[in-house]
Amino acid sequence: MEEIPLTRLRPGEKALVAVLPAARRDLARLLAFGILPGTEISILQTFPVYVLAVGHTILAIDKEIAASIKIGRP
Amino acid sequence: MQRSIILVGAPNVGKSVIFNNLTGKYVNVSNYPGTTVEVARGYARIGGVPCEIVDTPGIYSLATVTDEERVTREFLLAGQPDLVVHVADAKNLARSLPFTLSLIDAGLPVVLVLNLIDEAAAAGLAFDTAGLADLLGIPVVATAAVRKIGLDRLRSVIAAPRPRPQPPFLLSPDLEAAAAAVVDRLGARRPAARILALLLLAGDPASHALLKNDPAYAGIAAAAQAAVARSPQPLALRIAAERQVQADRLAAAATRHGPAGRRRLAGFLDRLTRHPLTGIPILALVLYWGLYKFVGGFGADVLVDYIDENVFTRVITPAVDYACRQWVPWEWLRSLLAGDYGLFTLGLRYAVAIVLPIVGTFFLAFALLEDCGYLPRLAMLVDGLFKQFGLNGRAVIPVTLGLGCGTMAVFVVRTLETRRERILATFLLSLTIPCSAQLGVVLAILAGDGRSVALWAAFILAVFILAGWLTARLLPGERSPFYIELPPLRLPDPANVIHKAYTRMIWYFVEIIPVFFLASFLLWLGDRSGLLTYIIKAVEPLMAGLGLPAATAQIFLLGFFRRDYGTAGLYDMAAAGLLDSRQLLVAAVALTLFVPCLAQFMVIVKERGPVAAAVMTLIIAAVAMAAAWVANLIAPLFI
Ligand SMILES: Nc1nc2c(ncn2[C@@H]2O[C@H](COP(=O)(O)OP(=O)(O)OP(=O)(O)O)[C@@H](O)[C@H]2O)c(=O)[nH]1
Ligand SMILES: [Mg+2]
Repeated sequence: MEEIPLTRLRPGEKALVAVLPAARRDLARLLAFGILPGTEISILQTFPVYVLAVGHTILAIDKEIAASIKIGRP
Repeated sequence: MQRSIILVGAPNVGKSVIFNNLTGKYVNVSNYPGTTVEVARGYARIGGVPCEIVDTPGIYSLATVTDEERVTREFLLAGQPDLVVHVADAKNLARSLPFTLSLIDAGLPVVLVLNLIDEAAAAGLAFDTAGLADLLGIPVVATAAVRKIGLDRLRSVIAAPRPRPQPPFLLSPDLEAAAAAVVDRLGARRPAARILALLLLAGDPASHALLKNDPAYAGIAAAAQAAVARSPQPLALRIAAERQVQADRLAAAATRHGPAGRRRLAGFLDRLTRHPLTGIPILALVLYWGLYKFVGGFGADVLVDYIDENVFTRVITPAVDYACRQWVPWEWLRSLLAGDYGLFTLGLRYAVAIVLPIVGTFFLAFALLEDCGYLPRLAMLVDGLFKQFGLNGRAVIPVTLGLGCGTMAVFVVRTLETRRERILATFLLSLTIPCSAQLGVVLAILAGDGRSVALWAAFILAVFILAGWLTARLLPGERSPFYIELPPLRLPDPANVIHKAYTRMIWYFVEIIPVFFLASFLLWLGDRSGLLTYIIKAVEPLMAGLGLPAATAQIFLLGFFRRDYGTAGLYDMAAAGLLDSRQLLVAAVALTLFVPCLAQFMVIVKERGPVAAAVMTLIIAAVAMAAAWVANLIAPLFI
């Protein structure tokens, strides 16, 4: 399995989170939204910021955080 | 004995709606995360038991980041409440349960409220609350707070004897051993020792800071560090992952899935407001209809004229005049009450006839925007621009609120993460964001000429961008990343919109009346003693430098007390035809940028400290004058 940054995904795509950012703050934020390795996310939009759906939560994050999340590609 | 009940949970799940229902008080309810920024208390007798109920700012987890989140956490861990009501969004049960588990972990008596059950039902979700209650060992109540469903059940749970604290949900043995080692050093009797230990293991800086001065801290930190060193993965991640596994299992056992209803329109509008190609035109429409037409046109023009002419010119002013002539023998008192700077003619009239209608219409329009859930979408659209100012999209919420009242907005700046962001946002708010009273008056006096309005708006926008860009470079430092949860678009509840606008208007009115009276009293005093003529003479060269008549000095003096008050003075001068269109524009620019009003200044002192407040005010006064000078130079090119 290959790990690529979330920013490589296009709107409409789904993926499983593989690696979360190491920075404590960003990590704490994502964990609080229930985003963990193995969580399925779908991309709704990529500009001007990234919009993700995680379960029934819709989350907007900037490119920096999005780039620090790695997703698994089979 | 009075029981203390504390409402906690993630932002925007309906804690404040529940608080309002339980206590009969009103705290703001809006459809975006971060509405409540201060703890609110209310009292009620619930099932015969006297209760103190506390509403708190929303937090996503106990590992907190912003100031207002820290408040909630301290309340929880140090306050020893009799009951903690964890309000959760039923749609996101699996995401919410880790927080419930950590509250149980802290040894707190917890009730879980699954709110927004109506939205969950629409999404095809149903819950076995009794089953979940058994699994968790705590009461679980399903509610739809805005429809008052399930609240009686919640009341009976609150009135019931205090639930016994539950044993914690254990993590894997090595994590438990690490936690036990830290608890050992902390002293097992310390309240919430176990949760504190887990936070320390996860490297939560606030928890470390809390214990810095504890004599045992060295040992505590060493125990935590040893565990961190042994683990190949960050402990924060491991603890969260194990918690999530437990939460997922509980949620799966308690949730029944049915067919989801389709909300086509909401989904369509959601995409429209999110996408820049449609979102920016929508923003323009919102500004045009909401701000220009409704606040500027209806509020500042129609309503102000109506109240000024029909209430003041016809009724109050003649009545006060008459009363003065009949019963007040002293000339000085007559002029204090009804003279040029009289308490009634100036103070009350400006407040009631000019400021109130404008502020009222603004708050009404703003409440609609807040309640439908538009603001978080606006935040994501402007994130890129705000990044240039050292801020991120989240700052759009205090900034738009500042278009209503800068004083309220400075409070809301708390929701920004870093100190630098809070200073930058406070500065931009104080310098460039006109409050609704100013905005309305400026729109009304410039309204005769569309070009003037456009020029004024372009000028203020340019100063906003330039000042933001410059200060971000002069004040280097950390910027926090942008993230915001987008709540579903919701149909605003008219009762809430009206109640919120009304509460803010009353707050505003109570805030301004004494200042308006004080200011007109001081002006009256200055006028009688001749000091005013002297001051106006003294600043005459400054006014002349801006191409303004000397009398304009007076509105700047008023502006020192309140910007809206000064702008109201400008309204009068414009109505009397004392200024030409270039002078109106220059005066409008200067007053818009001019020093924050007294109330806002006080709040800045409180929130950012006296030094920051004083420095900002000086810079702002200088920038305002410089900008007005530039406006005076370039205005002839356009008008
Ligand atoms: N449909 C529906 N909407 C609800 C319900 N409860 C709350 N809301 C809406 O949810 C939004 C948030 O409500 P608040 O009470 O402000 O939420 P809060 O938890 O206090 O939020 P913060 O103060 O930001 O932490 C508002 O728009 C409410 O009208 C509910 O049971 N059903
Ligand atoms: Mg609230």
